[in-house]
Order: sequence, then structure tokens, then C-alpha cells
Amino acid sequence: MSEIVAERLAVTAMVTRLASGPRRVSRGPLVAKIVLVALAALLPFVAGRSWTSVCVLALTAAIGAIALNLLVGTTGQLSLAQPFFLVVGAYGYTLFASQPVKAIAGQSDGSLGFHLPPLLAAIVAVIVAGILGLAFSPISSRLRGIYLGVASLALVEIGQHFIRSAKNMTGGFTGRDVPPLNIFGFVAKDETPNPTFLGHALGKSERLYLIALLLLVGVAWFTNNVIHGRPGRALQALRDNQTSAAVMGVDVRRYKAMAFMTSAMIAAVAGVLLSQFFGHLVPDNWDFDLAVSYLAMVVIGGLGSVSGSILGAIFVTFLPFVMNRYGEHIPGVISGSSTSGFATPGQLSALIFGGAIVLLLLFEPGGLAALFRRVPRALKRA
Amino acid sequence: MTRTTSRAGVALLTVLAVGLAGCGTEKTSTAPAATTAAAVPVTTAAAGAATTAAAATTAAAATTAAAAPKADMKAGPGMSATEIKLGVITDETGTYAALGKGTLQGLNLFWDEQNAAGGVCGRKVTFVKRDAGYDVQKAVAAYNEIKDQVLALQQQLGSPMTTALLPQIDADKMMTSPVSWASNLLASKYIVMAGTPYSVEMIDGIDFLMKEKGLKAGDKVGMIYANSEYGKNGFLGATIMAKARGFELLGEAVDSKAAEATAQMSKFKDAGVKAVLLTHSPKMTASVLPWAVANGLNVPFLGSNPTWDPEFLKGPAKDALVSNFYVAQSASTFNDAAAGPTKVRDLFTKKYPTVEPQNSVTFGYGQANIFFQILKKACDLGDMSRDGLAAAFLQMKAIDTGGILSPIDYSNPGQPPAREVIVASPDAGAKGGLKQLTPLFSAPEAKAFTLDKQAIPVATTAAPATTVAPTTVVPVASS
Repeated sequence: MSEIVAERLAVTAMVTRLASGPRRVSRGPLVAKIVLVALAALLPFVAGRSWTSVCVLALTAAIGAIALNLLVGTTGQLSLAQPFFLVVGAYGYTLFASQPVKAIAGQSDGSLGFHLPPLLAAIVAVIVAGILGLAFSPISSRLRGIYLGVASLALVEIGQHFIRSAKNMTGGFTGRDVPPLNIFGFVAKDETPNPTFLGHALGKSERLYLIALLLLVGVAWFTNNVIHGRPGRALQALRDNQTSAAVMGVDVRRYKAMAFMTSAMIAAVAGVLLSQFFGHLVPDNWDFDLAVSYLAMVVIGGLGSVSGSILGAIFVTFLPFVMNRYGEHIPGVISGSSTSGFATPGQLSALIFGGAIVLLLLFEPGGLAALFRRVPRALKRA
Repeated sequence: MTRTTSRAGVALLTVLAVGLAGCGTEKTSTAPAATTAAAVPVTTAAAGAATTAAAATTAAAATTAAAAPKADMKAGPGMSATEIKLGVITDETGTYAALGKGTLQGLNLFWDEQNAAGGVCGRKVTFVKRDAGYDVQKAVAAYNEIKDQVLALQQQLGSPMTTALLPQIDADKMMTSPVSWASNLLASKYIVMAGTPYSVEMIDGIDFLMKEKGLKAGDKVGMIYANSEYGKNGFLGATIMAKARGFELLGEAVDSKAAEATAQMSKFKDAGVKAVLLTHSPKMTASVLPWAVANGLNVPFLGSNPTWDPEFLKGPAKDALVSNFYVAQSASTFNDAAAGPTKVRDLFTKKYPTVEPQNSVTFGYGQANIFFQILKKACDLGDMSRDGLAAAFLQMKAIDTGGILSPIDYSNPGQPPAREVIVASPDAGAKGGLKQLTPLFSAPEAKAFTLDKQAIPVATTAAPATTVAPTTVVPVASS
């Protein structure tokens, strides 16, 4: 009985959702957003230098988390393949942008490279990720839930195998240097001396931060439009009930394949940025653990929400660094060379991380995004 | 409608707030490393007596004449008149947490003692420690966070992390002591490898098997090595010995994350091998040794230093491990009777009376001692900038750590800084779990070993991007 009722409710909700017109954005908050982004852009210059690269990592993670959330949160497709598409972005960019090195007997194994202009190389890498994402669609569009999760794990293993064995493309274990990204003359590398801006050096980290922020704004805007537009409503219909979505005229397999491809391409954008952050790629980064940490960002931030993805990425990225830096001042945390205390700052950060997931799932399954949505409501009430 | 947008606004506000909480706190060290590293004269409190006391721990390199720091000394980042900050990027929560913990205890033991005796160059050494959890991403971010605050990296744990950081280490001239013995790291002139690389370690270990365990020319020897730089390093050593000593080497490369090699072991047994060499993970050791016992392959097993884990002695494979397993490493064991290790043991029991000791404590102490001697040399030369450290480093011809580590020579960059090892076997009764069987020694082949100079061909940068032939390469002339 209750199932039928639930089904009907879902269909009614879906009809309303599909029938509702495009969303309008009022002007006030848009201005506020622009101001906020501008303030965020000034952050590395008004604040100090040492955190900039952690901020870059957080922005990059936010892009990757948005990509995953589009799949997991909006479409309801569990994917653990995130590291694979990051690899395609990072190693793809490096391969397309690097100069080739000829093999010389006894000196060098040689390495492939296409020596494309960096920006073009980045675009090609993202397109390749899209093609690979689409190539996976016979699987990604047929499976759902945990089955897709397990199947997508295969891609992580394929990525690992590729990095370790295709030495002339990836450098194998010893890795490969990444050419700096160059966006119309704005090169993501250090100069000696670096030019200054507002009294602060505009070095590699600061430039990367600005590029990452720009890309994050673009990706967030794009994904927000997708989610709140017609394709987004179709995807959510798919997530809530595949059968009723099909009845409503949603082409199930096509939409699933498109969601997977889009997510792959956005992840590749994050991959290109990560390659810049590293400067030198090694195989050990792109494993299952990375997939889990992206999943954690999405769950902590809030499924299906763009701002949630950003919040989750910031939380997961910053927590260990903030703990490492300031954890020693918390009573009971082991500091310096002493042995008294219950945990090291790193262990404390792992504890908080685990605790946050449990508490959020218990009390606010909507994640940080939902938690922060309560704030203005609570303020209004007060 | 407005609700969703205000929602987004609130979210962005929080983003900014969290970001500010993170980014907004550091206002002090804003100058880039390059400028801070430049000559900054620092007047120092004269602490000559203290420095001489410090020199007592080190037999070599102690030039007592230049005990008082010069007044016009060049200083690097992370230095004040009273303090030198060194970075430690370790692992307290990841795969190698046990190793990270042990080595860090060793570092602390050394510097606590040294600081009490006046520190180095009239300054006390403090750590800026970050736990990267054996994660490349975290290690790179942690490095970037602390690089302008520290003079050098006293410790950087893990080959993959250090490999990823190499270009930055070179660019920042950051003197770095890795907890890794992979020879690809030797390509950088800022890497202070504290010990014998895996290839040389294997050469010495095989020498031990031939001298003590009855392995002889004409025998067959099996080897399981990881499909990685580490594994290839060990295999290179074994190949050199097979050629020099005339035994037949059956090498099997196994994926570095694999935890069993039953098929390969069966092959070895059928071939009648007289010994098995391992350059793989502790997991692999824990799986092949019990297999050998169960299947009657009663031959000695020799492992590179990472193949052993103190946890073995608590596990079910304990008996299989004790009888036939030997490990070669360039640091003495925790319970060794030599003067250096004994001192470390005494300090450890005093400072950490309730903590179970690990062998890596001894290594950590030796690693700190090496760094101390380099810092002291730089101080004596009157240049504590990062350039000054690099220059002092190259002058370190014979570092003596009192029998803790193999004698070390950094004057030949790109080549192994150390060539001696000890061989030990697991022993549940010994503190730290390893019983040392030999003093430090090296085989003739180890003494003669040279790494191929890594001649890196330089691609022409003159060719414009539009030309169709970007493949033109100009090789570096090699001698």
C-alpha cells in the first residue's frame, strides 16, 4: 500500500518539477555573489602566502566534488571512478602539452609529447575525458547504485595500470614534470622575482589560485544551470524513480550516459588543475583512497547541491591542515616531542572527520549545505 | 526562488569565512623563499661553549676552532637569532605510521639532547611538523605551506611523496632528508639520503648469504621484487651480484600492491633455489615465508629493509619468520651493542619509558645527527643560507654517526652516499624485534658500485611552437 502511495507522490512531485518553468535569479543575491567571488579572489593577497596552495587544493577538490555530486547526488549514480578521470585530465594535459624526448640508448627511454599550446592541451585532455566517459556508457547507463560503484572501480585500476606501465607517456614510477598552464599569457609558474600585487608576491600558487577560482565559478555556474534546468529535472526524476521517469518521457540511458560524460569532463578540469598543483606527477596519488575522499566531500557537503560540494571540499581539504597547524593547542593533543595526550593532530583530524560523517548522516542527511540553510531561517525566527 | 539564491549566498559566505579562517591567519612570512634566502646578516648571541659541547657527540667534522658563530653570518629562512626551524613532513596516520612515529621519536631524542647542549650555531632547533598520512597530495600541500617558514626539511617520509616534490625541492634549494633509499632521488643535489640505497643494500646482503649461509656459485637464487623504482633498485643489485659471483638469478617482478606470489614461489621450489631475495612490501614477506615453511622450501630469505615490519612478531606467521628470514639495512638495530645505538637506547628508555621501541628510532636519531653535522659545517663556513647549506653538504666527506649508520660521504653527488649495511634477523626477545647478526660491512662489489649518471637530454626550447618538427632533441654530451 504505502509503496503505491509513495510512487504516486513521487510521480506527482516529478510532474510538478518537470512542468515548472526555468528558474529566475533575482538581482540582489547575484550582486552579492559577485562581491563574494571578488573578495575570494583577493584572499591570497590580503591574507598570507603559506595557505595559498592549500586553498588551491580546496578549490580544485571543489570542482572534482561538483563533478561527482552531479552523478551521485543529482542522478543517483554511485561512481568511484573519480581518480580515473582526474588521471585523464592530469596526465592527458601533461602528455599533450609536453615536448617529446627522443629515446637515446643508455641515456633516456624517451617520452611522448605533442607540444600543444597549454590551453589547447588542457581542452583536448578534457575532451578526451568526455570521450572516455561516453565510452563507458554501455556500463554506466545500464547499471545503477552499488553495481555501478563496483564497475567504476575497474576504471581506477585501469588508470593505475596505465600510469605504471605506459612509461613513455606517464613517466612510470619516477613520474613526469608538468608544463605550466598558460592562459593567454597568464602563466602558472614562479618568476624571479615575482611581480607583486597589493604588496604580495604573485607567484605560482597565487596564479593557480586565481585560475582555479575562475574555473570553479564557471563550473559551479554551469552545473547549477544544468541541475535547475530541464536536464537536471530529468536527472532527478531518474534518481527518484527510474520507471516513472521513463514513463514521463525521459530517455533513461541517454541521460545517464550524458551525466556520466559531463561529470567525467568536469573531473578532468580538476585533474588539469591538480597537475599544476603537483608540478610533477607520480602514480601513487590516484588510487581508491582518492575516490573515497571525494565521496566523503559529497556526502558531508550535501548530495545534489553545488554549494554543498564546495563546502564539503573545503571541509575535507582544510581539516587535516588546520588540525596539524593549530591542533597542538587543543588540550589532550600530543604536541612537540611529548608523549602525553590521546591523539596526534593528524589522528584528531581523522576522528573529527569520521565523527562529522556519522553526525551529519544521523541528524542532517542534507549535509553542510542543509545545515547552513538553517542559519537564515533560524535568524528570521529569532 | 529567492530562497535558493539566498541559500547559495549563505553558502558562498561560509566558503569565504572558512577560507579566511584558513588563509587569513598567516601574515608573517610573506616574502618568497628566494628573497628571504638572500644575505641577511644576523647577529647572534655568542654561544661558543655550547657548540663545543654539541660537538662531543660527533667524532668527525668537529672543527673546534670555529666554534663561535660569525657575526656577519648569512641566514636562511626560518632562522632567528635564537632559533632554527626545520620542517618535518611525516606520516602519523597512514600506511607507514609506525615508521613515521619511530623515526620522529629518534629525531626528537637527538634534537632535545642537542638543544640542551646549546643547539647548533648558537640556536635551538625546533620542528614545524606536518602529518601527510602517506598521501602525495597532502605532502605537496604541506610542503608548500611550510616551505617559507623553515630552513630545510629534516624529514620527508616516503619515496612517492619525495619524488613528487623533487622539482620543487630543486627550485627552492630545500635541503631534504628523505625516509627513503630509492636511488632516483639521488638525482637532486639537495637530497640528503641517510643511508645505503636499495641496490647496494642488496649487494651487501647477498654477500652475507654467500659468506654465512652457504650460498655458492652455480646455485639458483629466486627473487621477488616490486614492480616499482624500489623493486627495480633491489633487482639491479642482485643482477650485479649474480654476474660477479656466478649464481643463477630467477627474478620475478610482482605488482607492488600484490600481497602474494604463490605461483612464483612454486616456480622457485621446482627450480631448486638455494635462497630467495625479497624487495617488496612487508605484506609480501608475511605471505611468502609461511608458504615456504608449509611447502618445505627450507632456504634463507633475504629482504631489503622495508620488507620487515615489527608487527610480524605478533602475528600468526611469527614462527615462520624467525627461522629463515634476514634483513639488510644501513642503520643499526635498536638493541645493537655498539656505542651509538646503546646511547639511543638509553635516551629512549629515559624519555619514553612506557613506549614500545622500534628500530626506526635508531635511524631517526642518525638522520638528525647527519643534519646537525651539515648545519654545523655551514655555520663554521659562515653561510647558513640555503645555498650555504648546499655548499656545506657537498663538503661532507666522512660523516660518522657513532655506529648508528653506515659511514656517509656526500662529496660525490648522484652516487650512493653510503655502502655498508648490517644484517639482522627477527627475534621476539630483542628490543625492537630485530637481532643484529653482523657489524656494518660492505662487499667489494658494493664498494665498486656506481649509479649510471642520469644524463637527461634537453629538448630544444628555441624551436617555435608552430614548427612541425618539435622532436628535435639535443642530447647532453656525456663523458
